[in-house]
Amino acid sequence: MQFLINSWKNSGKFKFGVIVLVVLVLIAVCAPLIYRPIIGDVSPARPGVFQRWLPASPQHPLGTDGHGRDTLTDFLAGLQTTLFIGFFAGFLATTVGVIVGFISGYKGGAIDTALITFTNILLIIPAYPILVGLTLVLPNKSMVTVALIVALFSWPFAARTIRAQVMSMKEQPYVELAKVTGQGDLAIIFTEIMPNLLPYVLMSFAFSTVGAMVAEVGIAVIGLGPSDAISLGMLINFAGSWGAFTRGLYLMLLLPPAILILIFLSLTLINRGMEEYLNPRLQNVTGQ
Amino acid sequence: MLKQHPLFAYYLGKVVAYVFTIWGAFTITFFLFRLLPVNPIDAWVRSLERQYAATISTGPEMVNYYKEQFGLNGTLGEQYVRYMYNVIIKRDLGPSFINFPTPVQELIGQRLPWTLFLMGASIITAWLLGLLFGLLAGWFREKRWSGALTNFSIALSQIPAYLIGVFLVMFLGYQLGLFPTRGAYDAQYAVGFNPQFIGSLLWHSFLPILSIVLVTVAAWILSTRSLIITLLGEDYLHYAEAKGLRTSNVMRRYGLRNAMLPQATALALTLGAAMSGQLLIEVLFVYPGLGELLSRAIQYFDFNALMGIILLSIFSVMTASLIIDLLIPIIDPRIRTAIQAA
Repeated sequence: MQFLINSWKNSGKFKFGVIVLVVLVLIAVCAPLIYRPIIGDVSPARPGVFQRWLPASPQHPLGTDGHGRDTLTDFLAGLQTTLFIGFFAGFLATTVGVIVGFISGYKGGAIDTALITFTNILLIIPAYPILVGLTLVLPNKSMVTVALIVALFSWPFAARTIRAQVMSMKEQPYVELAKVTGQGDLAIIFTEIMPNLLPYVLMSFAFSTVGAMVAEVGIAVIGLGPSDAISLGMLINFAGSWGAFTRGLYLMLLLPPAILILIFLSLTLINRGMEEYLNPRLQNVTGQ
Repeated sequence: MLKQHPLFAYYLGKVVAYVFTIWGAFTITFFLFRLLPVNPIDAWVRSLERQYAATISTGPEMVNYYKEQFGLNGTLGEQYVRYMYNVIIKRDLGPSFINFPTPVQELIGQRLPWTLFLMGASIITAWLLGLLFGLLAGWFREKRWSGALTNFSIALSQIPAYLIGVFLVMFLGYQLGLFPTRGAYDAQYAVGFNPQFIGSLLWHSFLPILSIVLVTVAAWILSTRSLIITLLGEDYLHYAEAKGLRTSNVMRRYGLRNAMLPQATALALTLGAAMSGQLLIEVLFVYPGLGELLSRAIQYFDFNALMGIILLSIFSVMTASLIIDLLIPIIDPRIRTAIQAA
């Protein structure tokens, strides 16, 4: 916690990233308040509720799209879904990655070799074709399912980072001191290593979230997004199918990527901000 | 014996890991796809039935024949062994499902040059530009423009290339009509070393290459900048300046040279990873490369083509990584000493 406060004070990048992210998350959380009055009780993803291609009006601040949905609702629901999938998949990937990386780094030896080889194999396999293959096979995907599939290929990165950090921390003097004074393994893990690992866990989380969202956009853009919700990637896919390029539908085509870029930017700035705060200390640690 | 020759142990370990990782990735991918509940042969035979209005008997003999053609007969284990034998011993990746009966090697051979051209040109351009601007940004890091460039690069580096591609296609392609938005070259020109063909080729590839370069140059700028910054305090730089050498000389011969090694290895690894092509970029720009083939192969579950392309990608990434691992102790004496001391 102190680490986060210090990063805030230290880095303008961090402040900017956090502010933008908080604003986006607030919009996503308050989204139902905005679109419920417009569309009533139906799911935001349901097509054909309104007439298609209505121009902007008081009932539809941005008009309607080619599938008969309110456009403003499209963007709000898209933001919600993308943020949910990103954070959920990022959380899953980071959790699994931390556990695997920690065991691998702390135990060392044969377990480490086995785990790291498995991790490397997963890293080598090009994730995208398999992602597409898996999503093709499942006809009705909920947001959670998509998040699970996406997290499958994100955890190796976190595992690697955590493992490298744990391996270098193991050799630190304070750990040796703890061992010499007779602290048990579990106590060492929780009191000495975990607190120092926390910044890296947070950075892995931010990184995995971005990766998860990029992957989700990657499959949504070719039409394989979640079946019961709209995501920003799916909006890009829809815009393409409505001939947005030739008809000049700037809003439908370009606003989803712009929102996505904002999300990625804010998470990356948060990461860089934390990294810059850590950097003076990083130079004393010998990575392996 | 291994303990007495640590360098040999290092090399042996790397080669063993290489073989094992490729084999592991190959096996996992193979079973992953075959275990999916899809049956492309049945679907295809049914579509044939529809086309020929059942004038050919489409009994189990036809299904079995096609299954044999694609190596889908027998148990999963038999399929695996047969496929491994074909790939490793006979160097045959099997016929492609979507372009039957063209063998997959031929398909990949047709498309690989396009992907290599696209990815190679983009990556090398981005590397050169990134090295240059990263050097400048790191060297002059007190200046305001350096900070601005850094922040801009951070922003740019996180955007997936195809999103930038969407913007470029929209504005430069459709609205301003400056560049074509699909294909690798104009079909009316004969393929060859004549100026119209080459001109058309370059014109068509401009937007896709620009998309990839914009995004990847940012990452190179950032990494070069960090490397240069860590070098800034070194004594030999002060000595060079005290000797009175021109700043540009000092930057080039003392600064850049020392940052080159990590960047050169990163370049090799990136080139290795480029084999799978940027699938979405190729689909967006309808570029006839491996990525576009891959997307169709996934759609129709063309196992042979899928495995062929994925194998190629796995192989090139691992081989680039192995070459780097093998060369590094030779190039950098510090690492050699570290290995021998361990």
